[in-house]
Amino acid sequence: MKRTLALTLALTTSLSAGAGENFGGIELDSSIPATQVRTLKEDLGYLYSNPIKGFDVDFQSMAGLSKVDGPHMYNWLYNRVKHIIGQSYKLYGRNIVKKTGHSFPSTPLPPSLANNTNQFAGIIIMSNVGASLYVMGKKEKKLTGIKLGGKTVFALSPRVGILQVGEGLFLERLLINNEPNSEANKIKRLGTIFHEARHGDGHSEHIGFIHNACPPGHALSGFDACEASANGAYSLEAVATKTLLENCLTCNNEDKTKLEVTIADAFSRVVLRSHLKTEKQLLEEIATYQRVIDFYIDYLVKNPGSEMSVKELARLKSKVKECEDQLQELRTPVSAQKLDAKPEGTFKEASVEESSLLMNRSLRK
Amino acid sequence: MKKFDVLIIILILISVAKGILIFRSEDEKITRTSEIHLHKTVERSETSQQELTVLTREQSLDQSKFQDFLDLEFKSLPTIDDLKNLTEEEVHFTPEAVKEAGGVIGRIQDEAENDSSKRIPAMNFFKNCAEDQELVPAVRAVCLNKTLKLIPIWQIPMPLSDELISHEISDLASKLP
Repeated sequence: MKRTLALTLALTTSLSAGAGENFGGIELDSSIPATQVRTLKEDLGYLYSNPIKGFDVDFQSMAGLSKVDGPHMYNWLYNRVKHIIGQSYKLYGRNIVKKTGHSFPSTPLPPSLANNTNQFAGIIIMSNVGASLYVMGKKEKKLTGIKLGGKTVFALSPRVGILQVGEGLFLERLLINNEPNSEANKIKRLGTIFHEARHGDGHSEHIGFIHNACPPGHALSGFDACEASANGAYSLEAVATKTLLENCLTCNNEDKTKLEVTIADAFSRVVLRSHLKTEKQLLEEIATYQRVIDFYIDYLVKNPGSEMSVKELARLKSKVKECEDQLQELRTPVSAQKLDAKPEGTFKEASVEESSLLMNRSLRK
Repeated sequence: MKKFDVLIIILILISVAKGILIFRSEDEKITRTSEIHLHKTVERSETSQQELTVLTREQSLDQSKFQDFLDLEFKSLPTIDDLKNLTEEEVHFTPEAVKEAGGVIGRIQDEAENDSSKRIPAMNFFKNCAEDQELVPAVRAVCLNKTLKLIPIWQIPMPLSDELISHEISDLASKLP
């Protein structure tokens, strides 16, 4: 009898996990493994219940919050995260639905997306699928959506709020310590969720606050892992993590320092210049190129038919021009600007009272 | 009996002096720290000479072991070149090696908090890390932040080089908690 009861309970649990569930108004899709669902629920509950005694003022202004406390921080997330899908969810085939006849705003797309560079592909920790679907639809002029829990959710705005979680978000080696549900690990994961949620904001050429290529001289030069605005996904992740870290009651020094390095890493990706060279480096570079240019000019006088030398001379001159432009950029100081975070398309903004009601209901269960 | 005590003190002084040499620093704080240890050891010497000799030997061994540990940990800190081998996915969020460097820095701070004789080598570690231009900027910024925070707390002077620490690193460090 006991065995039958246990089996029934186990089946019920696995079925309910298989059917997906709603927590605090956020639909957690059946494609998320049950252990990850539990962790996500704990993380969101932790955020909502956090009394927040001190906070980073930049976080308040960047997130546009009237007050910084758990319910307000959760409300910010809730307005950008409505569905979470698992890594096994297939973003192709029958799961993708397209509809013609939708009228998108006539604003331009970011140049990198207009030129076929898919910035949203292949992120294994977490990604904002909703923003990607909206941009893809806008580009193809077809309203795009995905099938979730028997319904089709169309991306009417980058704020549709569909995030995909990868196992990387829960992997021990990528976490702060080996206690998966420790406060430090919750903070790390929430920082990532804030980052991805920010990709649901912005419009026109900065829709989704998509990342830019890191400039020459940056530690991540060449990777699409930087941003030029002062309020993009990396900045928001940094200030949100900083705020949660300041309120961490159980973080030890090692946890704190690991979180500090992730904050520094996120801030280090906010780069305004197209390069990170110093004036001295640029002047030295120009002088070096100039010496080689002088050599080729002489060489071509003596060997006028050398096509290779003509090409090389042109290449070197363009390098000097690039350095001169960078020098000019360096000598014209500018600071990172905050971009308008208002998203385009159709979406409904929920009040703190609404999101709190949903969360309280879930926490009471 | 008095001669015996003097002999013990001389032995201790030699051991402590060896410990100071390991640090290779002219800071007077070391002498102060060593004096505290000396005082503690003299108190213990009342028990037995054998125990004392073992203790002092262990102490200098611990300090040299700690320096070896720091040297090894320094080599484990990620360089900018290390990041070039990562994939687009691995760099989208903080790479594992960068996060782990935070753990190394935190552990060193903990060690030094618990044993004041380790503070100077730990502080040197943070300074060298902040000034090393080959290391990942986020790690350097955390090291700089630790150095600036701990100088007044640990009361250890540690001059930093403006030439080696760029505006970017200082700016990054200033944004940390």
